[in-house]
Amino acid sequence: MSDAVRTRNLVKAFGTTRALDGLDLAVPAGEVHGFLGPNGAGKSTALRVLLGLLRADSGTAQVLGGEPWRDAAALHRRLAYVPGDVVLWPGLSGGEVIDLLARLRGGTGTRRRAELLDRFDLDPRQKCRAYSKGNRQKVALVAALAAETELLILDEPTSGLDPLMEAVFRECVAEERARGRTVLLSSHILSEVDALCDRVSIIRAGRVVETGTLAELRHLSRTTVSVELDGDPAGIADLPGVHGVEVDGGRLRCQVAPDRLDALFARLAGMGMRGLTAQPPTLEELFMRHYGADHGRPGDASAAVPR
Amino acid sequence: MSAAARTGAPRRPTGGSGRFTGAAGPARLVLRRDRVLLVLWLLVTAGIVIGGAAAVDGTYPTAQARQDRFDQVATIPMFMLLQSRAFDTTAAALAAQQAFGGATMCAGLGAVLLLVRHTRTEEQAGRSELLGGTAIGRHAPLAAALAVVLGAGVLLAAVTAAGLVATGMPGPGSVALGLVVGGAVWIAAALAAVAVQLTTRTGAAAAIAFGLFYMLHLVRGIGAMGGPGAAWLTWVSPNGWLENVRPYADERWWPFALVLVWTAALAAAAFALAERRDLGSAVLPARRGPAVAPPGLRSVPALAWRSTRGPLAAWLGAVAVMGAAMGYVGAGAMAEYADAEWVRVLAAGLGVPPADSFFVYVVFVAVFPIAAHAILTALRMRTEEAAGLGELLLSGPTARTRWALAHLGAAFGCPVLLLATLGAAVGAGSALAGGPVGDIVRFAAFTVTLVPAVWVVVGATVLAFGLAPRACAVVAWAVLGVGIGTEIAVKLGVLPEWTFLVVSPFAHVNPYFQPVPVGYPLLVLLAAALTAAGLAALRRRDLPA
Repeated sequence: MSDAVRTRNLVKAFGTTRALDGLDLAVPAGEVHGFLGPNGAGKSTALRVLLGLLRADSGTAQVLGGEPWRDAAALHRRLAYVPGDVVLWPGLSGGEVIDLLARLRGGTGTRRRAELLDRFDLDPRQKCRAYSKGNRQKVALVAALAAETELLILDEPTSGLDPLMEAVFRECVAEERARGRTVLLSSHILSEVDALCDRVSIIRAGRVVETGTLAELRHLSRTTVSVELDGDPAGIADLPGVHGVEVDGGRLRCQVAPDRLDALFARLAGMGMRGLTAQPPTLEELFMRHYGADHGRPGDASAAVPR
Repeated sequence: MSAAARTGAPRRPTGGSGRFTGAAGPARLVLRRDRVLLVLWLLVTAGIVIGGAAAVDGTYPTAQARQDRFDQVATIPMFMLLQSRAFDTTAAALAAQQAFGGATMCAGLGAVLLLVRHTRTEEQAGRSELLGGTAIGRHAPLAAALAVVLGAGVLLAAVTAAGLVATGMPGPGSVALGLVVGGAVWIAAALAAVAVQLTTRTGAAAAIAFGLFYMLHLVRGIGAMGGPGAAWLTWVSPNGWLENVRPYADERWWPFALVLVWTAALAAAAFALAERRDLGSAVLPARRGPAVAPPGLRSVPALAWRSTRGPLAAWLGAVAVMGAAMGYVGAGAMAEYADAEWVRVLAAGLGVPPADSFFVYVVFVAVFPIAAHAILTALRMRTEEAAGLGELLLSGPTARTRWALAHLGAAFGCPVLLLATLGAAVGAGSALAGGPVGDIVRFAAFTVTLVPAVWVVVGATVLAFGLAPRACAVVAWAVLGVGIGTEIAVKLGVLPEWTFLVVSPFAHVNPYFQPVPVGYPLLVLLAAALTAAGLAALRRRDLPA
């Protein structure tokens, strides 16, 4: 499958700060790709380089087979973007902005526009200066979704939406995927990423530190196991790949690497198990591991889960 | 009172709960944010008065010269309309006459802009909400802004009076003139306090307040021009009350009481209106827009036009009215005065027929505000970029150059329209007063020749936008400011003439400096080169920067 977005060793510095420090990002066509990272990790910078608004200092970027800096206007016909902080022309109504942006692309899908306005429950007659943050975001979302482009680049598009609207947004993205479109979604809302994304890339300090399907990422992390035992759980802590063992009478709690689950349960099997819960790592734990500044080297799957 | 405060329970600070509670905090914020702007505004305004007073002895050295000037003011209505009446033939009284218009306008403009900036602008930006969530009364921000601006008016009065006394002007008259300028601050600030309650649009609020203030100045002027029969008109307008103080000519002090009443009444009205509305709303309801964009709004130039047309219409109206008024009242008087010595000297210097000299002079003063409008229009692309609108547009299939050119079309086109309108309006006014109808074309043809100079300033703005976007506003205004400053310095003899020719494009279209025809295309080429270089730089840089 060809990549809708592909960057290699992308570097962008602002003064002495390296906002992007060798970013390698690949988004295959047709997938919904989550782009995650703490504030200031370089997400918006990366998206702006992909849009050709910023010029990378070194490295290469390809978007839909073109070079974003050189072919900006031509590529933009085939993609739509929702900025993280949506600013609109204060004197124009929301409907006017949506129409203007659509016409600049050369399209006027009035049926799709009406449907989206209805679904997002947006009043197109209000002047943009009167819109709340959420409503401004809706204007940008409607404009982007109505454009029916091959690629959608969305920078925290739901940060101002209520849960109802967020659900509408999820439906819309799912529909886009069903139509074979590619979505690059930067977000902090992990449940949203969990629900929508085929794969995610986690960026930290200008670098992608982890990329893969959520299942893969989970696979790299430890499962939390709690058991109630009749006997004494001695010797469990000495098993390789078992960490953070807590013993409280007959209760045992520990984390275990996926490839050591077998060994752990083989040992537990003889100890008179009465109760068992095993939890795969939550998305939150996964991200905390990378977001937290002091926990492990980026990309080191064996780094300790903070606990 | 707050003994419980230290026991670990949530602190319950004491304090008032009135609508004006805590206004000192926002007031300090205003002072902190605008400390430079406030000082600059006060210095410029005081400087207009003090500088004029310091130069008046040199301008009118003899009793005859002063008498001539006095007669000139009395006969040429333009001086009374735009400046003020002259009440005596002393140098001090003539200085007061000359300073009145410029100084009160500068004082009023600053007061309006500052008041709007710290009330409606803050409210629209959502920062009032942030402040309003703290323990301050509902009216504290407006009270704070008013207190600072009115305080600045008092300070301005004191500084102006002190400066005038220092240049050797009589004490009582200096205090009166200082209070006149300070009074203008009060009158305009009170207008602005009401205007910001009326509309949610900051620009409209400022335009309403300053437009009214300027209109009241003109109402006063019409009263002054009309002679004794119309003198009552000067008492209708608060600007007329200030004029009727008559500094250095048997001062009257009681009109200041009227200014106090005006300020108190309008401030009370402003607070009453504020009481009746919600934060972020206005007395005039915000209009809704169309649900579907009009068919014309389909390109970036159309969008640029959309944001240009409102201000442009206001400017065109203002230029047309001012031009026609000057043409109308000026024509007859100038015909009469064409033989006077000072007119012939002025005309010879400008190299134009004596009857035209005054128009040429006026047009040259008007070219600077028109250039300022062109700069504001060109800077809109920087404002769009900084606000994030550039990002939204340029993430669509719009190339940067096209986006910039859309704004530049407006920036290059507006001065052409405005200058042509100015010339045509002056000519039309003159024709209405009995002059030849051909004046309309003749004056329009003259004013349009000033366009290349304005274009060079716009070109410099574009270059700065491409190379150093963050400094672009400063560079643009500096180019215009240096042009105006050197012209004044050269005319006062402080700087040699060649400096003006080197640093200001306006020198090369000014008849006073005998421009050569080849200069015009050269200016156009220069403007085009600056613009092309700026656009090339824009294509290479990051955005937003």
